[in-house]
Amino acid sequence: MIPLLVASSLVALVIVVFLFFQVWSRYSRDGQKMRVAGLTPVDLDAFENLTDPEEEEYLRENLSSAEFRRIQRLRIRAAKMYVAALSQNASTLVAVGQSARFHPDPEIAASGQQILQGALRLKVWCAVSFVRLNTALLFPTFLSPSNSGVSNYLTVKYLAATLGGKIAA
Amino acid sequence: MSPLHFVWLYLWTAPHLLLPVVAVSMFRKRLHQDFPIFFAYLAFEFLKFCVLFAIYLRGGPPWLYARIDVLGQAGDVAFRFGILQGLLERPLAGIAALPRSLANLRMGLTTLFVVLPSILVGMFCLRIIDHWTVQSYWIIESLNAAQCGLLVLIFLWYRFWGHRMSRFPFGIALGFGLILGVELLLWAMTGLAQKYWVAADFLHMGTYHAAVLLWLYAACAREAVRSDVPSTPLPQMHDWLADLRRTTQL
Repeated sequence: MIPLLVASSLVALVIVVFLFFQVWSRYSRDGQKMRVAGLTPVDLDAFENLTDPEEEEYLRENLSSAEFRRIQRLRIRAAKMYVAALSQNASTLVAVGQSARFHPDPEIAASGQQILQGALRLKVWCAVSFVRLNTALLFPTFLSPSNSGVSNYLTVKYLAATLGGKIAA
Repeated sequence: MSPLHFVWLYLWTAPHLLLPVVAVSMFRKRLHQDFPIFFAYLAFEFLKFCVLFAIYLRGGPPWLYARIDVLGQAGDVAFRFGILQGLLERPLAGIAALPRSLANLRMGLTTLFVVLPSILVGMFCLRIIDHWTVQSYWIIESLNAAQCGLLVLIFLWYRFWGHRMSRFPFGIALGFGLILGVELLLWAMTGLAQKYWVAADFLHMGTYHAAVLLWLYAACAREAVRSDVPSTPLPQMHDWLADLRRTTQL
């Protein structure tokens, strides 16, 4: 009984500290700096290459089974890093879209809505891709990563870029 | 009336009398359309207070007070699960048509937040009928502990999506976090030493008062609508466009 109560008090204290951190990150200058981070550059060509099914097929045909598994694991690890960067960028684009939705110019507001929708979808894609890549890492011979998210990312990125141009004008 | 009794009465009545003010502020800003369950929760809490206070003033039987209190707390738990589920869904409100995987995830979370707690609340309502009031309080506290975890999940969920909570949902979440966190602490405190129950009662009411003031502030304060984020990455946006042109030409 006593260990349970002690554990409860510890959990309660952790929650209070957690809430304090939430307030801090929302209102402090440091917290805001953390939130408005820029985009991480992502080489989409390299990412496309890493997740290209034809490239994978070529490697499968020309390498031994053990060598293919080793190379494929390396490729998947690299792809995971790209997805992590894409996911971070999607979060930034969510913030951009969310803000632009309230812009007085209706055209920019509409673009903001489009960016938000696209960025949220991209975020979902990144989460699903993480699961898929981790599974593929376990079974590199049977599963292959997909590159369908790249086009989604490009659409959202294009919308955000267009929005930047509109505001500059 | 002793000063301590006066403070006790103040801490009991003042936050509950502020609840209709919060509700009116919500109504004026049309927030009740976005947060209908929280709006209903405010009404429910006020109604519960009116009934309990009437029993207290008329010197009603303690067993009746205890039963209504437990039923009220069971209702609170159910409402809180609904409110938390509403908060969880807000980041996805911007998507017109959800992808199937996300729709399934949403369905699963709805089950977790609404159906499961409803069954649990229903179960301990049956126990109240069997005069197991003390056990019912224990179940309520266990559910409160579970809600603490869900609340943390909500903050992390918003962080995952990169969504900034607007002021009102942030106020709601923070208020519930305070109530649930302190309640858990008090539960442990009174469990370890029964003599602290008076102090625990005061602390509990004080925390609730703070939470209601927080909700009132969140409902009344004018939200600074930010449309300045595009100015921050503006130079980057031109880079993205150049990068995009390069990528699409390949």
